[in-house]
Amino acid sequence: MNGEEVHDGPTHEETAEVLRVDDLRVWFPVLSSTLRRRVGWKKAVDGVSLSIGRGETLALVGESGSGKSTTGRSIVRVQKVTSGRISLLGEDITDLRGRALRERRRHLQMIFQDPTGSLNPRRSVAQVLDESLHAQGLSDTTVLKRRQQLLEQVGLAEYYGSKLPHQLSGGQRQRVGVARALSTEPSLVVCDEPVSSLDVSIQAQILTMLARLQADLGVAYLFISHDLTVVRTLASSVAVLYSGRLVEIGPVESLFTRPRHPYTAALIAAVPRGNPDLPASERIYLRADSSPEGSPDGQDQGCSFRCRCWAYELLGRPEVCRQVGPPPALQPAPGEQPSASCHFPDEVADLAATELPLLQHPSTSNLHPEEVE
Amino acid sequence: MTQAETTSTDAKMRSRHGWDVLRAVASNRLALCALVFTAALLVLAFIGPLVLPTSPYHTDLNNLDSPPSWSHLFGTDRSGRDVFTRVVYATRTSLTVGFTSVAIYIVIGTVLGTVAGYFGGIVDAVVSRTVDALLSIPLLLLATVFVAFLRPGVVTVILVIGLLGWPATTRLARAETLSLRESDFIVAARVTGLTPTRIMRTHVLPNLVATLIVVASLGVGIAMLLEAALGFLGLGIKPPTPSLGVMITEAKNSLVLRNSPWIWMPPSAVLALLVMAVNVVGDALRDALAPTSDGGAL
Amino acid sequence: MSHPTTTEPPLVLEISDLDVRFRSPRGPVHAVRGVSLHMLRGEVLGIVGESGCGKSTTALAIPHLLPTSATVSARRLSVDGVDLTAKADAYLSIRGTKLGMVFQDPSSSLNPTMTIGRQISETLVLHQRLGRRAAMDRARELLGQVGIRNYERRLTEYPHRLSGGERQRVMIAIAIACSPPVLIADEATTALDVTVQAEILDLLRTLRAEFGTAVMFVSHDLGLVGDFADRVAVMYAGRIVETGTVREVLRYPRHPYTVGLLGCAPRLGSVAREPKPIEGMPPDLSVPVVGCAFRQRCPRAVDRCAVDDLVLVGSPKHSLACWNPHPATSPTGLDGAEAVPGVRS
Repeated sequence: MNGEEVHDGPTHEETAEVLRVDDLRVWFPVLSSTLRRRVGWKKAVDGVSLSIGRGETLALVGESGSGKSTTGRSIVRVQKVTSGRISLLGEDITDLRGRALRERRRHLQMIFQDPTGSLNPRRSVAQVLDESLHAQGLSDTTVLKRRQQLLEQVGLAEYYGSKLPHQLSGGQRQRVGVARALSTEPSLVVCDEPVSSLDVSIQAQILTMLARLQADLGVAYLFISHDLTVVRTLASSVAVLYSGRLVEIGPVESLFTRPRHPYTAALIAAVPRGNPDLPASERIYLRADSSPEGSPDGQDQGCSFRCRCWAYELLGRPEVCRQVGPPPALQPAPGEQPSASCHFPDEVADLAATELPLLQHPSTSNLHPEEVE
Repeated sequence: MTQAETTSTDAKMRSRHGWDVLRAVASNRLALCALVFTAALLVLAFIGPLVLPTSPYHTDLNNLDSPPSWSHLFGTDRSGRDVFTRVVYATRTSLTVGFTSVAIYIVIGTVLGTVAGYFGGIVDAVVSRTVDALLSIPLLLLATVFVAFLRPGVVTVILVIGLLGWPATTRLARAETLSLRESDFIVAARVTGLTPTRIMRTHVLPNLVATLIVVASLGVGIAMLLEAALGFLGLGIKPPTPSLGVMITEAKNSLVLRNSPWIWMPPSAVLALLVMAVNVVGDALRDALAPTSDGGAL
Repeated sequence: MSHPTTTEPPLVLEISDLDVRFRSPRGPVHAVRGVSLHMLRGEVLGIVGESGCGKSTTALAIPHLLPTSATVSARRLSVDGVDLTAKADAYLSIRGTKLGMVFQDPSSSLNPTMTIGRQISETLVLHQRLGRRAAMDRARELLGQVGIRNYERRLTEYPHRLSGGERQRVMIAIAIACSPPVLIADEATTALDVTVQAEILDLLRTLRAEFGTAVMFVSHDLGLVGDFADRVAVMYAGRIVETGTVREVLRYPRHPYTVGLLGCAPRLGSVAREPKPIEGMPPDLSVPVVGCAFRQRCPRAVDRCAVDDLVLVGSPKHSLACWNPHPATSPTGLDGAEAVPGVRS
């Protein structure tokens, strides 16, 4: 499948693109409980393609089990890939190993969700940073200088260097994680739910810091999150994942105001608005709980989202949804509207506007006080 | 030289922690007792032979099998040798056997286990199957075969225990490495471009230390008991070389057992207390080395 | 079940001057410092704040579920007329029957070795002295009520077969099995996906409407509380700093902390505004707090904040503890009312 695409080689301008992922698949074998035989595949990521430009932020959103973390881990090459291609700065890194991979890795870093688990409990902040700096072959004096600079960039005073992780607060630990990621001067940082385990006020500190660092250093982010509001503040474009597939991808503004896939619309509608005056029951547009029975078996020919789709009924249960799988969502060219993996993207966008009243008023969500002083 | 710099910061960290760890261990009263006891025995066992007036082989023909007295603190055995002197020498032998053999197998086990756990695949399969095979044969049986090909003696006993004891440690180190490998900080280390050797040395090993200390402290006890058992079976250290095992063996004779308790009780008591003390110190060390303990405040 | 008519609904929960201290190696931690609150029948009270502010501790202190290292004292603590300060084991008579609880982690709050049906009926057998069969029938009915599909079959299944959302529904079924007048939901939707969260909230709304259950909704998410609660209490460092109706407090917040918290929350608005962080960190509660605990982080702090203790002042609709609050009239919070035409405000 997609044979030509995989072997075609890069056709894009090499200057703009930091990361390109083509038709990425990560399948895990499902083993039978008794004989440990493979009885099927769990398709954690199933044909995801995306690209990120220099200094851009692409947000990867989806609910638990949608494959967003697996995608992120595949990109930094800590997760084995079943098929597909990952190119970094125009160079295919999918099959790199050992030394060659280690050398490319400085361009590609990661920030983790759990700031505690991502730091070795026995190593001080300085040790963590120095180690990474030494690995780049820097001289001792340069290492010292860089370490101070990194701590300053993430807003930690120099004396934090001697602290062990358990002596830091959650937010400070995450700052150390960011400093470690920046230590190699990467072109792309995969941020895997970097603020989900933090309190709102600390979350805001980290988010503004990430935005500032991007402006200063021109680093690109792949920002993985389940939280749409967080994504809204930081991303330039958004990719929505649903059970391992991209259902919609496009620029943040139009994707949030005029979603073209029913799942995206449902996700946005489900975000709490903080407004008691909004009609409550009109929020639920995904049918059925995400129980195992909810998804049709692998034999089904049609759209896999159909049995949870709110638009399916409204569109009069179209034949095509049952017969043919929807086209994949592919990153639109700049200035174009989002691409949705749906047979009826325009109809859905119109329906969403009339049927989901909350979508019409995204601004009602703001719990945002004006400047008071 | 870049390596050297980092290693020196490591060393600084470690020495800064040295006192904290000791203070933490000492804050636990039981552990403090055990620590003092072990230290006292160590001093006695290694300084004693330099200052004691008599040799463990010297026979006092005027005092055969005599109960404790001022001239013979723990009495004499049936050959007229001073029991106290022999216990001191025997403790030295047992401690040497215990610590050296455990050191050998901890090193082997940790290296094999870490490598198997970190790399997985074929390496892991080979190591794991060997471990399974070795664990399925009783150690004492293996030791018997081993000793049959070598001359019995202290070095042989150390080699037997050291070279056969590693499977359990390997299995443990492998399991811990497997779970550590999945943790975010190891993933982060891989992503920053560190080499596998470096990751294993600075990120995996330090986090295995706590477990290894417990294993080692249990191991030292077991090794000393094993030495005694081998001696008891006549496969270990041969008399007249004093070892705790050899001395306890003398109680095989029911006459000695019943009528001359001073011959077997001191070595047995030393062995039992020593095994206990080492275990207690090991436990306390593990707690003290936990990264969250600020010199044992928690 | 008799529904209250036009008169003021009865008080189902009353707490005054609740104090909780935890023993810790660094000395006592004063986690809750004089919290007073009440709930009326059928009312949803949201308790919001960041981790360590004492919101969960307050909730857990009511059914006596805090660890043994905690010392709890209160001038008054009563649930549905039962005075919990009167007898040391009075809490036993309210757990399950007068007060249900739903916790954050739906995967660890169910026993993995017991069928769903058994776990629900257990409560019924214990509290309502129902027979096995009758309890099972009621369990079936409850599963239907909490909206689990195929509930006939689910009854005999084990928790691992359920999704996170379904497990939380089962937890709610257990919590409401004896129709308690008060339900405490401690971050009950935090671990769930947004779409599932919306469904669970809807379920809680239905329960409230049908049975008049009062819900204490403990959450860190202001948006969620704003959607769901009638009244809200904002906690900081073991105290309620601002409380009142959701409309008042979230639309016209006056306490600088509430304003700050609202400013941090990222929004879904059409013009993405940068969240404005509150710099600094909450205080260490093992050190006695003098004056206002927020003053080091507060942009409006005045001299008085450092010395004088504060009390909540104001009306039931809106009261706060601050020496220099934002002026009463400025709409600093939700600017949503005019943006939603056709919705009453």
